[in-house]
Amino acid sequence: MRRSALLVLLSLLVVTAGCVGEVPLDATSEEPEPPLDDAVEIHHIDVGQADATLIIEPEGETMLIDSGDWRQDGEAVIAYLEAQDIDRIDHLVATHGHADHIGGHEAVIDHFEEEKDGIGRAYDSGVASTSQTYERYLDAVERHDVDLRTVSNGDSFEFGATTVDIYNPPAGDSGSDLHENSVALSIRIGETSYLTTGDAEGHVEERLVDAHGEALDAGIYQAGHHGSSTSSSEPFLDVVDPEVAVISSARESQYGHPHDETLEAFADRGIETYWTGVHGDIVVRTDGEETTVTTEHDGTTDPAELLDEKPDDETAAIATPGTQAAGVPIAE
Amino acid sequence: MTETYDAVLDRIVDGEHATLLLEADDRVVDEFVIDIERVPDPGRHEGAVFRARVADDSLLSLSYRPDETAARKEQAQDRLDQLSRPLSDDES
Repeated sequence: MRRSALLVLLSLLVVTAGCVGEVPLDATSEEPEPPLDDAVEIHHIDVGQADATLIIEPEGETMLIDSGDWRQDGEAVIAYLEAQDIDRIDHLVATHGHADHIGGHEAVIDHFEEEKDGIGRAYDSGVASTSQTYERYLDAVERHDVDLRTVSNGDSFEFGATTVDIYNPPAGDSGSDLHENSVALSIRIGETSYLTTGDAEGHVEERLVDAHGEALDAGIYQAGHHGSSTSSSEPFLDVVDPEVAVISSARESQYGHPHDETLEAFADRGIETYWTGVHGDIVVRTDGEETTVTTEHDGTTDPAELLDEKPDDETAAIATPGTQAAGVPIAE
Repeated sequence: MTETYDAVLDRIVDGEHATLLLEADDRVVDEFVIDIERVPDPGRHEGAVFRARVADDSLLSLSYRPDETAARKEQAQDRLDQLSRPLSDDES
């Protein structure tokens, strides 16, 4: 569908170029990218109310984007990577310093540096967090002398047969807010892309749309901020225009993620939607032409029906152990 | 029995929920999610450090520690800056 539309557009461009006589006729840069020899695997690991995504590209390079919540201390992620026979993490990304994204970083770095073939390079938003979880991640970086890089809009690097483009944080001084500076990146895979924005919220999305427009178009989109209505705004979805969306949050999310508004927006657009809370581990495979999805658990991919899978309002917000509901102020 | 911990406001979720990490012996040992309105106002921001009193798995009180907050922020950022360099610095 999209390809035929593109071909029509290309034909028009060529015709126009012929008429004007000044525009180069060579339109090779506009031609569709060929598919890869083999599929890229994008494993959205079910880590409850947190994020952890393993990506394996056809040449065997690996990337781990976030490492789950501090409570798991990397255990679920390491077990999953072991089951996939991963010996080395070539690219370890911390989208931002919150404990539900870097909760396993220390353990993952220690494990791969001490018992496997190590960490190739680590990437950070450049904004530190004050938590012990974050400090321990830096401890592990220092302990193993990991090559740690800060990234910003405009950065790009090769990831095997694919290319990674960094869209956020913005270049230059961008304050110290962690969501504002969450790493957003796109992996170009043949003619399609995988877009993930960490916990970037609406005004970051607005900035991305202004700066990058249609370049954000992605066949596969990891819903920002666990499917919260702070993210996946309408103007952003207009340009990303995904066919498949993946939400990483617990079924009994204490924050009510994914929010109804997000699932409704996905439903309006007919986006095939997966939610770790329902589907468990979600593996997307694409060679840039054909995309398939396999899940640990069966479940509907109709976002309107996923709405019914959410627990009743209020119960989830109170039921989680260690969680307190609203009440009187507790300032001393 | 009441116990006292350092607590860090790790994040404010959806503008409503404050996620607090309780620390003991340089480790995070517990997490509380409370309504942001219950957090003392000057400490109602990401990265704020508090003394927390806890009894029977309930958070009794939070007292904001502005000096500790500022010191930790500076220390963490300095350390990250020392341990990292921009990707664009390459490739020499």
